[in-house]
Amino acid sequence: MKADVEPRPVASSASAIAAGDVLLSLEHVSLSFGGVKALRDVSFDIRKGEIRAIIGPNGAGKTSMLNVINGFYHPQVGVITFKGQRRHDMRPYIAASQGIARTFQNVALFRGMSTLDNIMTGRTLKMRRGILAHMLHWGPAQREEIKHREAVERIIDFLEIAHIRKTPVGRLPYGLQKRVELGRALAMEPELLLLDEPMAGMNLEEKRDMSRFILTVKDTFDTTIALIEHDMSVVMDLSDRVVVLNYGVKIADGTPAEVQGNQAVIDAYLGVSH
Amino acid sequence: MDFLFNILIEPWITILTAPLFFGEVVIGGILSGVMYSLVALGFVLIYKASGVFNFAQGVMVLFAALSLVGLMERGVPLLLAIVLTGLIMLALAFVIERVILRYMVNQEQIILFMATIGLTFFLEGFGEALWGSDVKALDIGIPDLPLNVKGVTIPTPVLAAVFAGAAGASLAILVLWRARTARRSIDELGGSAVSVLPGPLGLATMVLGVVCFLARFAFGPDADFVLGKPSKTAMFLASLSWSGLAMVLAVALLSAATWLGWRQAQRDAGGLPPPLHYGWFIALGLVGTLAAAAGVVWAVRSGILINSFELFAAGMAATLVIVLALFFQKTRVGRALRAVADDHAAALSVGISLRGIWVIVWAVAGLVALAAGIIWGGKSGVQFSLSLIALKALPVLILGGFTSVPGAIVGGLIIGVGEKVAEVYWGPAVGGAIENWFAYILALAFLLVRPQGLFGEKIIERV
Repeated sequence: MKADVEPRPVASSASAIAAGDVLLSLEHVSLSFGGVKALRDVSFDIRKGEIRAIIGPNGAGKTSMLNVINGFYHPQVGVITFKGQRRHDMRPYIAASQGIARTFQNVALFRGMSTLDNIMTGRTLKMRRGILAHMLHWGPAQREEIKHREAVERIIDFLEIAHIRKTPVGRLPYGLQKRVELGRALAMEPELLLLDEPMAGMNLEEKRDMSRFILTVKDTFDTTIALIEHDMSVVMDLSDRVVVLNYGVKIADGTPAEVQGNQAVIDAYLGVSH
Repeated sequence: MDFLFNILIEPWITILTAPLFFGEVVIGGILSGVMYSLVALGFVLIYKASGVFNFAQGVMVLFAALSLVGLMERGVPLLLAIVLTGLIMLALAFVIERVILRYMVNQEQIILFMATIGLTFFLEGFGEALWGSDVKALDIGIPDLPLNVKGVTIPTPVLAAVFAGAAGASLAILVLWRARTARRSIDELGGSAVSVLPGPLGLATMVLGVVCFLARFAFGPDADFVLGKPSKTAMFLASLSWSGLAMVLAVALLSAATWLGWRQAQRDAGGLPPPLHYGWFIALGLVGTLAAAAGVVWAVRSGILINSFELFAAGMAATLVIVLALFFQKTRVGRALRAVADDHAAALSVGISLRGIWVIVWAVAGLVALAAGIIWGGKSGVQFSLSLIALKALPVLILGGFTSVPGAIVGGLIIGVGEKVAEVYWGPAVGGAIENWFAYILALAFLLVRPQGLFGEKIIERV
């Protein structure tokens, strides 16, 4: 493994979209489980309005990285700054309430609930009326429900899943489940959207749809996106900047073209003879 | 032969010759079943939302009843005492989350289970230290006496029709349920997941049924059911043939239901709307409820003895179930609860706070415990043994499934009715006391045949 290649300085490689401010930054983050070091001294940032790809071979620590950002894992060392607030670690509730939404590598939907209900859970933090009012479905509670329902219906229309609105998601095919999961994350109206392998296991057509959705989300919803993906052509087409991890270490960071030409990245993916 | 006759035939004859009395027994069973359901409900709520089997549920019932009686002994009026006890249960839920559950996030289920056992011992001691350990009576102002409106009798056929209606509706619901599960499994696991034709067990049952049915004719004209005074052998053979017919019909019905589900799954795949709408369940449920309600009204008018206290208990349980259903289905918190039950990580990622949900769940379970405490305490006094009704809830849960609210209700009803009917009709033949063990034997049988319970989620493990 040749991990000793200098990571490129972030500022120079991001010159093309330097107009965006830093939305989230991780500094010197290290995370270990017992003796296994999942992340070793990783630093990188995500700028407002960009699509940031995180790539790397299996076991490189990509999902651990998302889990750190989203507060599922608490790193032993490091600082996380989101929207200017410095923290040692995130908590899921804080992450969600401050505008970080995510999807999961293995679809994590509420299987027993319908598509509509699943996406409605994304509005949980935005609904404020009391339990009793909701139960009796009166006045303000009803208006609130309707307001959020309208927002959810717009998302359903956008993702073209109107026909499965009432279907329990456990019954949907995999590609549609991924779409519903994206819908649930969008319902949170996030500032930062974390997508963990949004196209894994999809066929070409589904991938094309998903790419289109992701680009539209970035442009029209004004959402910053960090995504993990294995399909290199997708990564190169979609992302503005790419960070490459290997065995928990950042080995490259820059525009797709830069990363593609980086010898350390090529070695990590293809292997080198020692 | 006499013993067999007493077990297999005699009870049916008694039932058929005195349907009014049978109705009385069934209604009594339903009412006491509702009380079992109430206890089981507390378990289901916590198990659904956190996957924890709450060993302390029984003691929570005791604690609620003790607090209620304690407050009333100090001169607090009944309604105020109930409200105050409710507040105590809410506070208890808060403290449990704060002191125990907070430190148990992400722990193994068995550890959480052990924690609830610890809670059991603590609550028991705490309750008795606070309110005293002597046996107390709880008087909630409803007499534990039969309710009886004399003077009107109803013709047996009407009563029979009402019961047939209720039974038919339940049967139809079961068939639809079977169709729905079949459809779901096909949709999720593919066409080979469910076979429409009966399996080996079904075939064996059918063969047995046919043999039983034919057995009657093997004995010639002597064994025929002759009007007048049939011999015991004749009656035995006749019932054998009828039950054989019932067995064949049951298997055929099961296959028909599966076929219905299969057809629906085919339509799903083709993008056609399902011919069977969920609304049918609701409609049939309503029909069944109406028939049962009509049955109760008619029964009271005709002079059947119905215990007014148990009727009150049933009404209270029904209200509680409706409120809980609304809570789970219609509120933002209910949606969050279902979400937490389905997937912890996903729930966290949309900003649902696990801790908040746990407080709510334990508070609701505490209030259900209060309701059970009022009813059971009022029925049999408030004392330590009250916490042992949790043991009666176990078979109910095994029967209904640990994750299903309707399961808790239906399981309670089946056990309540089964117990009473078995005691009254089969008790004399085996020397009585069936009520004490019936529920557990039934649960054991269910564990062998359908371990996930009637309404529980099937446990599928990919290996």
